[in-house]
Amino acid sequence: MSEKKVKRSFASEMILNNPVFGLYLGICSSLAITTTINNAIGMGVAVIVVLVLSNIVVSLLAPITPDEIHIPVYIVIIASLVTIVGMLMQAFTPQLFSALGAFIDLIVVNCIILGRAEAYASKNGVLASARDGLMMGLSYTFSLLAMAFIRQLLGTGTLSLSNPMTNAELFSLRLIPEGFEIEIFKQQTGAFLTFAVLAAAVTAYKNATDKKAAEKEKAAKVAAKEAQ
Amino acid sequence: MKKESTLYKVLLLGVLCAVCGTLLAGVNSITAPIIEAAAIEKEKANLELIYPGASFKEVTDYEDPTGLIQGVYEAEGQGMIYKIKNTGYNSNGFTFMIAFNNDGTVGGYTVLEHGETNGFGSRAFEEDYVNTIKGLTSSDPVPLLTGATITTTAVQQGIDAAKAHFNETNGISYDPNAVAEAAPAPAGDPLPLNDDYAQFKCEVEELSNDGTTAKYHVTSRGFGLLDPDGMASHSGHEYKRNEAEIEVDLASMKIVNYTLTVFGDTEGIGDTATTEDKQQEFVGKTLEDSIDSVTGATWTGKSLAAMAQAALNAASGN
Repeated sequence: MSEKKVKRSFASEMILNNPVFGLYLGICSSLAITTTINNAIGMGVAVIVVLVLSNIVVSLLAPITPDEIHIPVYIVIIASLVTIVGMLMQAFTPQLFSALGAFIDLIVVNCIILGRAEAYASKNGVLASARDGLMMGLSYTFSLLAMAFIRQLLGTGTLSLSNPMTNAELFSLRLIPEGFEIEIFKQQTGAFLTFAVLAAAVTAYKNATDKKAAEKEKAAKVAAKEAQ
Repeated sequence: MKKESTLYKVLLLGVLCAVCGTLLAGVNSITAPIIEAAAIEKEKANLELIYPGASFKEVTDYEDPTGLIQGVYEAEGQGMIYKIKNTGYNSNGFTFMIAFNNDGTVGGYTVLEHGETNGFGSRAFEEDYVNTIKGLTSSDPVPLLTGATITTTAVQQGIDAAKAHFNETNGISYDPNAVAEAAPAPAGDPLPLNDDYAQFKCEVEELSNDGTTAKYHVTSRGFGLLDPDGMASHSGHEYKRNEAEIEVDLASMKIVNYTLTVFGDTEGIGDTATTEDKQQEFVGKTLEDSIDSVTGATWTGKSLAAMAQAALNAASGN
């Protein structure tokens, strides 16, 4: 894979094939927990860990798993991983755990994870599956961060980050003066608004690149014809 | 074994579940003590309010049919602390802790957070009532507070749930249906009888006058008709004027009898200012004297004082 190709594939996975804004997968949790950047990072890391490990285990077990029981096998694997991640978070990052609440357990039913196990990990090697899990997890985290950035900034006027282990504040920056925050962004309505705007932007970008590619193809065809 | 055979599928799932189960058990055995210690740690600052310096242990296998108990903690060698959440007037509820010493006396009563109305429900967490509760034992009934009935009923339910568990574990027999007398409402600022009560628009009618005493029928607007904060008009309650019959000694210009005949304000709140005792307080008073108002029923108290003033003025020929 050439340098340029890797770059394009990274960008395309982050934006064009972004699971949240491009494929509309895993929206439930991204609408619910993106009130702060801290939550977004915490949730993102939890999903990355579960996704990478489940992809690895699924691809390892793929050769010995009969088709009829592959879904139960995936579910057992994913549920166990999520429970372990949940227990570790409750023990070592209790504040984050209580902020994310039920959405940690709900990672089990996050379509991205079962989707990647089924569509990718079951058909590919261990390393490729791990990479796929990492990329998908990163782009999920990227969309959480994008939403959380907008919602926290407009909703509270501050951008802040704290250490999830000790809950000590790492930095806090007020960008919008007090009294000018837009409360609605802290609530579900704000989540839907943010989601809609970002999804629209991704779609517009996608349409533009598709159009450009189509034009290029057309031009190439015309050129080929003329050459004939 | 063939991959398509049923036995293979059963075995694969079985082995997978066993492996996952073992893994989960392993992780749980590492994290469970940390999680439990963190739970105590989080509560510790609150627990220390009651038993400073004690070592605490969380009791998790308690039965609570009421669902009000949020946590049970044992302070080693000292007593039990119950964290309770219930809903009073404010729909967000309030959380408090009640502790029983090992000898059954109340070891502490502290509110952790509440949004009850200042001056009404909030009195359930103020000194007087806190001291009342602290003077109880686990077999005593919890008294309510006049004017804060809804809040203190919720407190009572919570303490009853804690009592049930504490007495059960310690083998203490008690009467769960016993009822305590309501604690009296506290006195507020004094209301002078010669104050300006013009807004109460008192009307006086002389009923009898034999030269030594005169009897008057007086009516006054109360809290409901004055509506000082606009609350009364939204309550849907139909308010009336307060009415009283007041007898004045004409020589000494003192009130000799004060009887409230019609109560037109809010039941349960205003009537804390109209009890027999409060009416008796007017006896022997002149225009120079004042009576004690009742916190939470100031406007009704003023209305009664206004009627006393009107009767005394009528008696002196003003």
